[in-house]
Amino acid sequence: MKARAEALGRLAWLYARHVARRAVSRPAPGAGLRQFEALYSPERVTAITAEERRQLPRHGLCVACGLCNFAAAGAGYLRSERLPLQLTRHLPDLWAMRDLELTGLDLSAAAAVCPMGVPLPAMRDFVQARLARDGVSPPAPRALT
Amino acid sequence: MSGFDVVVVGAGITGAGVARDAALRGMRVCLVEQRDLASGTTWGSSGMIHGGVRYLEHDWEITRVSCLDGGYILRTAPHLLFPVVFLIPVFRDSKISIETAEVGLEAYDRFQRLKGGRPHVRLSAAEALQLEPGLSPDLVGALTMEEWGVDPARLATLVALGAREAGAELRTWTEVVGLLRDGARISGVRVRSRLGAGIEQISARIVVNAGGPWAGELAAMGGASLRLRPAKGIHLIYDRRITNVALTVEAVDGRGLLLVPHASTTLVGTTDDDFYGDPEHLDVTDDEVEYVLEAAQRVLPGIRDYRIAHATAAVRPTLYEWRRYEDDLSRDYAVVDHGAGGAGAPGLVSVAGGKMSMFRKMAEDTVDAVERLLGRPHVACTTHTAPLPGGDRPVDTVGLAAAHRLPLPLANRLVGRHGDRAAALLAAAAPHERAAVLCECEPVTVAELRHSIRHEHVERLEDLYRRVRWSAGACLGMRCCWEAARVMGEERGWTPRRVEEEVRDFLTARWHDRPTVMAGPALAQEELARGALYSFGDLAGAGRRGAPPGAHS
Repeated sequence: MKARAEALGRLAWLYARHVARRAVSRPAPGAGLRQFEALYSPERVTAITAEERRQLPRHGLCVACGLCNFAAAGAGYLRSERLPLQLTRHLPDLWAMRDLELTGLDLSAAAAVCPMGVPLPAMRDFVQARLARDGVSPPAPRALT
Repeated sequence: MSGFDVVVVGAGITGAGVARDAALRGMRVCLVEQRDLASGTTWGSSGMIHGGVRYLEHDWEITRVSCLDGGYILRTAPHLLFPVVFLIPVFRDSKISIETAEVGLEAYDRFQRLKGGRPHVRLSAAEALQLEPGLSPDLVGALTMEEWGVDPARLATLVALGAREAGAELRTWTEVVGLLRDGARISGVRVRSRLGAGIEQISARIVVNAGGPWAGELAAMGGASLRLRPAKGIHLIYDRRITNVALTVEAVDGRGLLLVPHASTTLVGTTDDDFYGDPEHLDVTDDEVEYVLEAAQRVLPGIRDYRIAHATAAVRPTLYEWRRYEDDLSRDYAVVDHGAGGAGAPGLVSVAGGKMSMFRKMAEDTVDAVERLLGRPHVACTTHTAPLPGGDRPVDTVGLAAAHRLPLPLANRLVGRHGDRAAALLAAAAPHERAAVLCECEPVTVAELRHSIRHEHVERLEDLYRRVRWSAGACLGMRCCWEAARVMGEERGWTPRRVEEEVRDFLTARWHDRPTVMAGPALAQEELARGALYSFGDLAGAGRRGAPPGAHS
């Protein structure tokens, strides 16, 4: 009970201080997002655009049938099937695609045979746009301060 | 080997933690698990190292200890953790106002540094929608908070392997069927291998019961009582990150749920319902799926446009309390000496309750109790500083990729699972297998698979799934299970029949996670593909259902 009373007392004090502070000072418009970006852009936890949000449900349609691999020859490690199945699942790890030949695949031909309608050329554009926006360096490891 | 100081029953994160701590303190330890490492509650967890923000209303010390332990995991296994950044959207009808919520996070910020975390950020409604345009637009604003994410099975595996490196013996697929007694005292366990061997006895001076939802049953074998109030929880799993930030979600009954981008997947859950059945046979019901989706839809209205890959269910071993609503039940833990005060089972110690982020502390308290019961001089616990396998030093992923001429996606994933041991894994691998991708959904290579089979205590095909997460993507193993089974059969000298049995059992288990979350043509298509695969491999007729694998080998 003592710990609970202390916890509530501390929170009450913080609440009073918080309300008083908010009454005299409000952050500038956009300051929150800038603060978020400063904290998390290096770790690639970044905003999703409205267009990307519209597109994302179709990225997950692949059923791993492998037909697209027959329609378009691979380019090094990159195969058309790996784009939806493997390489774009983890947004903060897109940087690891920096050396792949994204333009070396005929993704239109691959998309043409896809029974699920996975938007392969649009996925390539998605990756390229995010790499351009977020950078291609590996995220810095976090450590205890 | 027999005559252990301690036999630990249950190789979830708690039991593995106890085994490692005890072994590091010089005890002779045997860790026994009825299935695979981390195959029960740990496997079905949300994979979060929570710092305990909710305890700020009750006891700040719990939050401090919880954050401190999160920091210890970051220190000892940095390669396993990834930040999960929460966006807490506040609506006009939310249970608490944005000011109240922010006060809680201001308090939490004080503890974040203990686990290498960042302070919260307050966003206006417009800013939150700019960050995540899929949010429901009737926001008042949003707050951010961060926790660590982890692959819970990988964490438990590394803890168990760490125990083995410290001298412990691991026995998986080994079921405890009774407790041994020396007079009144519990003196070990009677076990039966689930892989075909007979009954044997393992003697030990202390038996630690870390059986999770089975802990009550195990205590009863010794004539002791351990009351739990098991709670079932499900998660819906998407095959990719459908958001870049985690979202807090309120269900129709006011319970809090989470939508978490977790490694390459998204987890949405969890439910929390009293459970009275057999924890080994869990089903996900249509109602549970709808409950979770309804909640998530309120925050992310487009959620139903995304394809759910599968669902998981697990049972939490929550400590018993009468009357409280399941979600309010404490995540506190207890270490029980069943011989204390002349009770009936001296030599039996149970550890129950708790949450994954506190496993190290739970293990420390348990081993302290074991030490006292054994009458051993106290040896300081070192699990907060001793690195887990692969956690000794940071790894230059780009350098590793260049050194081994490995595509970056492969190197990146390898480092995320093996840390500073990735280089040794590659050096020991056959050159043509280093970059040979086994699974198209996850960049798992044949080299990694062989390493896991040889060094990570893998007994069955499904164990491999937990070790390296092959088949975790869209195909759920339909494409790669034969190849994985072939590699494993090669390593283990399995007969073709045994390979077939392993594939059958693996696909049957994976299939079990799917029908509830599939519907219409997709379900029909999968049924067809499954039928074709089974008839192709004569899987339907391979072995008697229920017979242990290897029985026909």
